[in-house]
Amino acid sequence: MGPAVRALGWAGRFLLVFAALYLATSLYSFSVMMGGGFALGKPAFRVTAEELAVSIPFSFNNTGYYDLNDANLTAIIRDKEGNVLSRAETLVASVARGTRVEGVHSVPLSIMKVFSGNMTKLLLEDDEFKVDISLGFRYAHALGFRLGFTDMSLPWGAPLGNLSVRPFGLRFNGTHHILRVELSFENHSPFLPVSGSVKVEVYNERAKLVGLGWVDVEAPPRSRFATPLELVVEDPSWFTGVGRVHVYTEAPFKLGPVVLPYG
Amino acid sequence: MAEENGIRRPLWRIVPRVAKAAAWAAFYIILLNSLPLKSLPAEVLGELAGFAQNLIIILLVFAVAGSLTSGTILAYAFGFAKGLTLIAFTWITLNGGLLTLTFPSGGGAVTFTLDFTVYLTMFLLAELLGVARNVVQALDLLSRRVERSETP
Repeated sequence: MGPAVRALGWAGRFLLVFAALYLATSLYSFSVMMGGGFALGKPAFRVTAEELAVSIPFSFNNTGYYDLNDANLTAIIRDKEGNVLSRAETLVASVARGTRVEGVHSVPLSIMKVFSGNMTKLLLEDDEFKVDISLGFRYAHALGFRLGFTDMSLPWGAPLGNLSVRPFGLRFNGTHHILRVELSFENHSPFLPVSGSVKVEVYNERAKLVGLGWVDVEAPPRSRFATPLELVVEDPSWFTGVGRVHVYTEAPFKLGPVVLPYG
Repeated sequence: MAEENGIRRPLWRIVPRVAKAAAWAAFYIILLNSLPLKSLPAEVLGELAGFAQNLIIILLVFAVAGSLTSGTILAYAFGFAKGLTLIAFTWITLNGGLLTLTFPSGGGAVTFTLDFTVYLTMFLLAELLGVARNVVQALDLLSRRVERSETP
């Protein structure tokens, strides 16, 4: 039985040494790779009529001795109640040793899904989203890593924060009766510009349209905008000083009417 | 003279075994105290310190028991038991090679998951070969004893 005992002994020792060397070299190689191997670029925002998309460029530079597989970058955006608003997953099948792979992780946020029901609220009031981000991959076909950030707060800045539309005076310019309206808002969003045309309709308390007009607005992120607006009034008796204003926006989202009382 | 030899012979047989057991015990105690556990973060330390201490205690107990009984069938029984204990202990304590650490961060949490199932399987296979080796060695010892007792 001597040879069998020796064979078992050598097999065990060989396997132990092999496993220890494999573990040591893969950990060392991993630490070498992590010193600048994974990088995230500057996020870019894209706003269309249907969606708001955040694109984050990333790169894996595999400077280690082993291949990197099944890299997975996942982002989930939820509202405060925990409802999933967006889920985006980017997969990189393999990054062979000595190579570099670049990609873009795009997180689309459907405007209809996010804002349906409370679009006006989010346009006018600051809020907060919850974000889960996770990055996982396998290294050296044996080591699996996953780093996850859960329940991270993503503050939402209202693009039309503190929106105020205040009719404040009626005058006659010789040909028309003009209603002067003061429109102001603060763009609290850190990335969304508000630019384009805003339509304002002034109604009295009997829901009779007193006058309407358009104004071009231009408010970069984190800025305040205020402008006077002049509306042509058909019949000055319709303006009673009390009623509602309907505001329609085009950018960043086509929205309206946002109904605001005055008087 | 014959009485002196009767005491000395078993004593000379036991002394090296006790010395070997003491050396193993000293080695594992030094190893336990020299582990840089205090430099680890508290969250990791809680998980790892208990594992390392228990592992070293298991190794120490079986090393001492194996040294004291070396050359007997009991040594292989201890070797066999050590192998199975280590396999069960590491598999259960290390959650089958899937470790998850969670740290609170702001209002949320950061979770780090490490999957080293492949390496753990390799180490446990090596340990399993050691268990098999102990069984074969025990059988070898028993068969040699039988052969010796049957030799006229």
